[in-house]
Amino acid sequence: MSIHDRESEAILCYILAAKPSPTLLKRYILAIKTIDDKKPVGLYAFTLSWPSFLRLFDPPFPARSPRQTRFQKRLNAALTLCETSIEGVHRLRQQPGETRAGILLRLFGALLVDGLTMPLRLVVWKFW
Amino acid sequence: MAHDVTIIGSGPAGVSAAWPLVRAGLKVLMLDQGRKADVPRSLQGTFRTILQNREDQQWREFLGDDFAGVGDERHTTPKMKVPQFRYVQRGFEDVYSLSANGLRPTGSLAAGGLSNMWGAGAFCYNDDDLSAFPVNVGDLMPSYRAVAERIGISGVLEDDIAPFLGDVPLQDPLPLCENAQRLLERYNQRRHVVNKLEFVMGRTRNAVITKDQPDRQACALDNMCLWGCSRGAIYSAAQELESLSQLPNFTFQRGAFVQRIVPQADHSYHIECKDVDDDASTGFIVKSERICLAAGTIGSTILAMDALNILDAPMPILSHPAMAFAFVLPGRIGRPEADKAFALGQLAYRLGEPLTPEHHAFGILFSAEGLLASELATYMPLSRPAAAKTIKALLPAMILANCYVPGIYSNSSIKISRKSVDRRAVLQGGVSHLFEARFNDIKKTLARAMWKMGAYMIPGGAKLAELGSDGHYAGSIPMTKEDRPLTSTPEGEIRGLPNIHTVDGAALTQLSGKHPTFTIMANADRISHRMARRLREI
Repeated sequence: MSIHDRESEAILCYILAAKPSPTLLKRYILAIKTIDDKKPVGLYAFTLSWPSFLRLFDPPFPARSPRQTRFQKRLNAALTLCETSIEGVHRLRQQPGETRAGILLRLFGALLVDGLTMPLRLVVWKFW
Repeated sequence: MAHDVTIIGSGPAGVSAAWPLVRAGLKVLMLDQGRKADVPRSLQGTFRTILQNREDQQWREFLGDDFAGVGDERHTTPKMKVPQFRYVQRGFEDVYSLSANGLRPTGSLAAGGLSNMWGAGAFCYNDDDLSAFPVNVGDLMPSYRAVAERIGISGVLEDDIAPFLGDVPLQDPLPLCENAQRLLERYNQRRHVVNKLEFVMGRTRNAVITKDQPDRQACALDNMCLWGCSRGAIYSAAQELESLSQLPNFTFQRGAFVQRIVPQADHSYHIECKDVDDDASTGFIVKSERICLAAGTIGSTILAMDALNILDAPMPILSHPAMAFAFVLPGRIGRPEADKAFALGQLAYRLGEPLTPEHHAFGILFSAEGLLASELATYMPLSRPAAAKTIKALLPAMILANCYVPGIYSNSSIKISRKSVDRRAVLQGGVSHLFEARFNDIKKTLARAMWKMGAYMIPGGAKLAELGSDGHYAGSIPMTKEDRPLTSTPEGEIRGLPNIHTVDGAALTQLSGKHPTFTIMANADRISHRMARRLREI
């Protein structure tokens, strides 16, 4: 696997909170090659092994560097491709049987984590 | 010359000009590149069922095989990215050698023009909107009614906004989405409070049929309006080209992109055409004595300026400074999404300026459920997983609004510059210095009015749209009573080009806050009725 493909897998994993299927990964790589340059973002090796840590590098505000711009663009592409795939649509759209309480609870959890990590994300955003 | 009148362009203006001429028994030739759709809808069903497609093919429908829908482009209407609509604008700038600065040029080489992807809002101009025009509501009303009967408009005649939108024949209204229904109920309960803010609201009018017609099926509420209506419920001028083509005195010539109009000594015109999709095409000439110019505001203006030899002089062109807002109804957060809905305009509102009524702002409220949630999530200052969870909860509670202010707030121009033998068109976009203050004022008043109705503006949920991205260009060959360069008579006849009548947006004297397409169609109908009457008398 090339570094570009490993980064793609990590980004999809970060969005999906699960390992992406080979079909979705292939589609994502093809999409990135079509809409963007083929350069790797330059993510740290530990984030490729533990994609949850990509949250720290996810820019909270408009990107400040070409690397952040590229990363942001790829995150947005991953989000769109997840929504239009059978394995990722549940991340953005309600599924039959989901309860309002469950949706709100997960939202509360996600916002809490975002709030707690915000100071670190701001530092990374400024210097990465 | 085999034809009495040649119409250049097959969009709503061209088609509206064609009907009165054809019905009067005149021979009409319509010239246009007339491209057909090249990406058909691949999946059938409602927006939600397609999004949950078990074959995992939904990405083709929403993003296209070339993934162009994945792009990160912002501040344009979502329709610009839709795979099924990309053919509509493809190559427009190239064929006119058009460059733009500060605004997005919009135009089309497709049969039916931009109406293949319009928002279907159909509103009459009233006396305030027409204050600068050499015609009044009485002159236009018979044409408004005729066009409304022809295209089918759904809406109501009895609510607060109705008098502002005009009295035309309407079909039954489309059902409102849950959020719009709640807003309207609260508006009716608190009308006395919000009206003090010069805010008036009611059901919008859409050129969408709610009754089956021979060639079109009524809206089935599949929420796919933004992605291409497979039933033909949303009006498009392309639908009427088929009906017109069945008449013996109408000819639609595809592959005839008009490059130039050259006046001849015998008072006729040589129309130089070419099939721009055929590399082997060497071009051909159509001779005509009488022309209706309906190539779209930008196209018609370029053709007229070239024929009049107006070179290297910037001429004014109007566009709609526009903005978009996102609101949320807290009680609906986390509620289930609707299975069936209509995805275009739900409610219309007007924000007035009591002392200068022609300065009003006008907008439409939409449901967000027919959009890709990922598009909205990218605007949130959250990590992507948190943004995804947030938008999932917010989407059923969201209501989106657009807002337009009149063209007097735009400050744009169009110029043809001569470089050796080539001619290039240059669009320069800008807004009036008053616009920023007006935007802030609208943002504040709209947020307040919606708050009174129980909806809250999402932080950061007010954006300026890219100028021109809505396609509302007008007023470049305005109808005026006085003789000025690059203007037309009240009958649309371009001064300096006898027997060439401009019938599209270029002829509008002013651009009100309302969407102009319906008025463009009515004006084309009016001009061509007069032309037909005069030609029958000759």
